Amino acid sequence: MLKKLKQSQFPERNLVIILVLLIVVLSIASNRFLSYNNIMNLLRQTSIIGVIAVGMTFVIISAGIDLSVGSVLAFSSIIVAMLMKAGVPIPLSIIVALLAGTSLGVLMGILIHNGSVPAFIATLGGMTMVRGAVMLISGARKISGLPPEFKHFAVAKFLGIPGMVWVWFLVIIIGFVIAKYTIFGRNVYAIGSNEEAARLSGIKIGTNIYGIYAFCAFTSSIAGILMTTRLGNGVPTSGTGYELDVIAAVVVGGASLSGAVGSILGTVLGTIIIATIRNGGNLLGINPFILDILVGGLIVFAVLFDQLNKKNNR
Amino acid sequence: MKKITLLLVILAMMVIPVFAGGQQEAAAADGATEIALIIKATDSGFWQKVIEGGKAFDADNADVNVTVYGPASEADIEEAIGILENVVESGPDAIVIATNAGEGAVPAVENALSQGIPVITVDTKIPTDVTSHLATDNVLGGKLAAQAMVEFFEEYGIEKKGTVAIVAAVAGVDTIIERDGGFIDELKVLAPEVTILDPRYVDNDIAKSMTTAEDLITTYDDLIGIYADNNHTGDGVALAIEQAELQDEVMVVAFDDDEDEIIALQNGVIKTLIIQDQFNMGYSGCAYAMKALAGEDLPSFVDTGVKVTKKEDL
Repeated sequence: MLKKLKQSQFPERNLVIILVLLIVVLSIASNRFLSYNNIMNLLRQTSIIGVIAVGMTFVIISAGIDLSVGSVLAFSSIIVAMLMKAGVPIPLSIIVALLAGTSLGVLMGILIHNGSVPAFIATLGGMTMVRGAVMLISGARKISGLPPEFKHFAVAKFLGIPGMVWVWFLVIIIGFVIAKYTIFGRNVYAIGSNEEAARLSGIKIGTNIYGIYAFCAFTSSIAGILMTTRLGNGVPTSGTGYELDVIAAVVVGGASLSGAVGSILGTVLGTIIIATIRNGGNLLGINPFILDILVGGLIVFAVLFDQLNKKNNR
Repeated sequence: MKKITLLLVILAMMVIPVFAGGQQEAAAADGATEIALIIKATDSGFWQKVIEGGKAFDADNADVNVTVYGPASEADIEEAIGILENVVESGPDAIVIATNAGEGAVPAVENALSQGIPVITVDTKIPTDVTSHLATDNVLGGKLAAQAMVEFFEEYGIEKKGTVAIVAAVAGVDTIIERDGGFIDELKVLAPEVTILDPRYVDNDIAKSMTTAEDLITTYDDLIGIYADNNHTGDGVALAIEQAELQDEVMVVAFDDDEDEIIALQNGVIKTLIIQDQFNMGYSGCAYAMKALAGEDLPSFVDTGVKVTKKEDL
């Protein structure tokens, strides 16, 4: 009884246990795991996927899906790089890239709501079209020669933590507040639970759907800018395949693809768990293909475990 | 109904110019010898130089028309095969091709050969008899890389005892296997006490090669060298070494010469670049195609050569 109560009050409990176990095992297996440098590596490597995962959480809670995140990342990366190369000031370049990326999300929201195109199809088409546009405007070439101040952001540290990790933390906090304390956040859960019921109770579905996909595209655009500072280049093929990594992180974090279930905290834990497995595997020199099997298994078991729990509680 | 008609009209308006454009191009090329130049990826500076070589041959020969094809990323093997099949179907006079598809490219290439279309492979072999193969001697290139690394161990007073890592572009491709094999064999002879790690494969992704290099730096205290076996791995490794400020402790030797690698060479982050003659691959590839069409007997392998380039050689 006590066990069940705890589980329902704190659904992320299992994730915390898994993460703690992982950390204990890895710190015993490798004396480097808990070193400052490795933790910073781990956080830096996680932050790009982590930022998008926050946006994706809202999409998945609303019972939607967004496959275009990797392409939107590349789009914002190319735009910010091309603008800076053309001599546009850095802050303005970033703002324009964020706006351009976010507007793609609005377009997909309109397609999904007003056009009644299923989210999977709308964003699948969006993924392909945006990637094509990125290749076209960049000539499928890297854009290099960016201002050093911009590239410096990837290595710059504040209170010992890299700048890009701070950005991730900030996005987490924003996501957490929106999900928990705003009407929009509650609407997202309501829509994911039952869109028709949400509409009947007076929620404006359209505005909320635009908001959800716009926010996801916004986080993808932030990730694109982080990727550009990390690589020191605008790379048109960057972010390829990220949609699946991001969805995996959100699902491991306990969100349900059928909507209404999920949390930002869960997503953050899911993201860190997957990244920790990969990082630990690298430290211990484990064959990367075995790591793929482990991560794939984790995704399936996270959901399986959830389903079994639900059955037991019935 | 009206809406559907309208949609169809709009769609037709979008599609017709595309086809019309294609036909014009085909008409303009009438009478000229059509050479299809198929490259591995459009996103990398390396292949852009192969394209430059092909275009230069086009410009030098009024009766030759060189058309370039290729997927965006080297990892898109499936797409590369599709492109090759389409090119063979379009019936050019000769094909000059670099592909990672290996066995997968064989049916289409044999189909072309059986139609009397000469096929010249550049850079990477495919497992069938083609008209001629022009490439870098990759085993030799790998050996030269090992020699360069050992020279720098001596120059920096590093004992030939620690760990040397290989960051490899893709798994299962002959070019890469030969480069790594040549490097490993030569390093074993020149520095027998060095531990050489198994190659870490990074899907030719700059972000992944950077992450891998960061993890290698954290894991191995006695890391004294990293060998990056193409341009994207070179870019990623250079970023990681630069950020960790380890250019005096870890000797980096890389293949190829894209813009960022040259900058890293100037900054002393990469110690030596093994530079292939890509322009020559594109130019001579087309020249050999013309020879084949003229009925000349061609050697089965032509070495296009490498240049061992240090900072002072720039």
